Amino acid sequence: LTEGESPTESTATCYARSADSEILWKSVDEGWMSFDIASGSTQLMSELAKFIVEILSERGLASEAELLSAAQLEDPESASPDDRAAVVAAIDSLVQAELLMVVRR
Amino acid sequence: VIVNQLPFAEFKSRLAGSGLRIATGPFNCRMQSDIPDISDELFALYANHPLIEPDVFIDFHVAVNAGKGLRRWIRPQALFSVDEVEPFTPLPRAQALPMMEWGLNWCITAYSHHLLILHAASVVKNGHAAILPAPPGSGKSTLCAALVNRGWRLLSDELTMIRLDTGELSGLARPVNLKNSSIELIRNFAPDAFLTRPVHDTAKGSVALMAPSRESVQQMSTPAMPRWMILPRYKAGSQPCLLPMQSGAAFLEIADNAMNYHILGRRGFAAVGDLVDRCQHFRFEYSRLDDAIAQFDALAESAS
Repeated sequence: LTEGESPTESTATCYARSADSEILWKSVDEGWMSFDIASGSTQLMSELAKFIVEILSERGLASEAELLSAAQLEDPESASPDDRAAVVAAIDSLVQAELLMVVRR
Repeated sequence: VIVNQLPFAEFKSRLAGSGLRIATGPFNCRMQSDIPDISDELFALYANHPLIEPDVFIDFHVAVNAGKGLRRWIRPQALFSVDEVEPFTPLPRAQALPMMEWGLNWCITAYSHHLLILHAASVVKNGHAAILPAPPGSGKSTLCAALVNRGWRLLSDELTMIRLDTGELSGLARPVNLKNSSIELIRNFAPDAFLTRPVHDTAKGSVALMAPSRESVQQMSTPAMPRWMILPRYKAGSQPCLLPMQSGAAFLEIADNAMNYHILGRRGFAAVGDLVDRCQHFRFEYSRLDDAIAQFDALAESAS
């Protein structure tokens, strides 16, 4: 990234899993608990964050737009203008939790 | 044979000599000490614990002995050892008895990775266990001591041990560690309970140990299934208030208080997940012990 460039604004910015390690999941009232086997880190995640991790585990790499599109495809009838903000928030939480990393395509 | 069936002279002789071999829940311990000052209170604290035959395996060989050389007389010290290794710096000799307890807790935490170990108290009523994980100062031990003196069975005050295969809680029924103002509070609340003389100026302030009830010791080998996870918080002047918690928040609290969660890795995550599924979760604020006990009794009643 260049200085001042936000990861979620750049069209060339993509996301990938930080490591190829296994993540364990446990359903809870608020969403999902995740446990990264490699780092030992435990996080409370939203349904959307889990979905993004799963998509990236399958595809290896995806942009914000691709992740948004994949999420909306899951439930096209309930797509809304707020979806982008929700995807950005989920990506941010995953990057902060070091489960995702920012990469340039 | 239990400890108080030994003549006190024999108890003292074993403690100072080859060691006192006792069972505390799933662990067999050999306690040894050449500090005579602690023998009468140790005798009272472990009065109801079973003695172990000489040929039975001992998990932890622990000792608290006097400092060597001039340290026997000048600013006398107590040294804790396990299997003849001294993992801690010495403490003032006045702290010898709590040091034995803290040392044993350390042994269990450091070596028992076949269990999930929570820094939490646990008590049982009608076969259902409540787990009370909480940071220091929350009133966990005070509440635990009060419950144990009003019909709840003590599993443990400091370390809740959860079997990885069945999810059951194992009992330790070891002394309850009371600190500062809770010492007088429990003395007044339960005048019949045995409390040691307070030891002042420890890292935790003033400390006294309360003996577990005879019933708790007699049933320490009976496991219990966890039913509630309750985060207590003492707040002066507050009315008792039991607030349900969501399971994700409860998961994080339990994982935070699990001493060996990261060591267990995958098994730790599964064990905490199972525990979350088995329990109802609450935050509990209280100021009066009688109110708190009424609230706990109502929970136990509803489960029955």
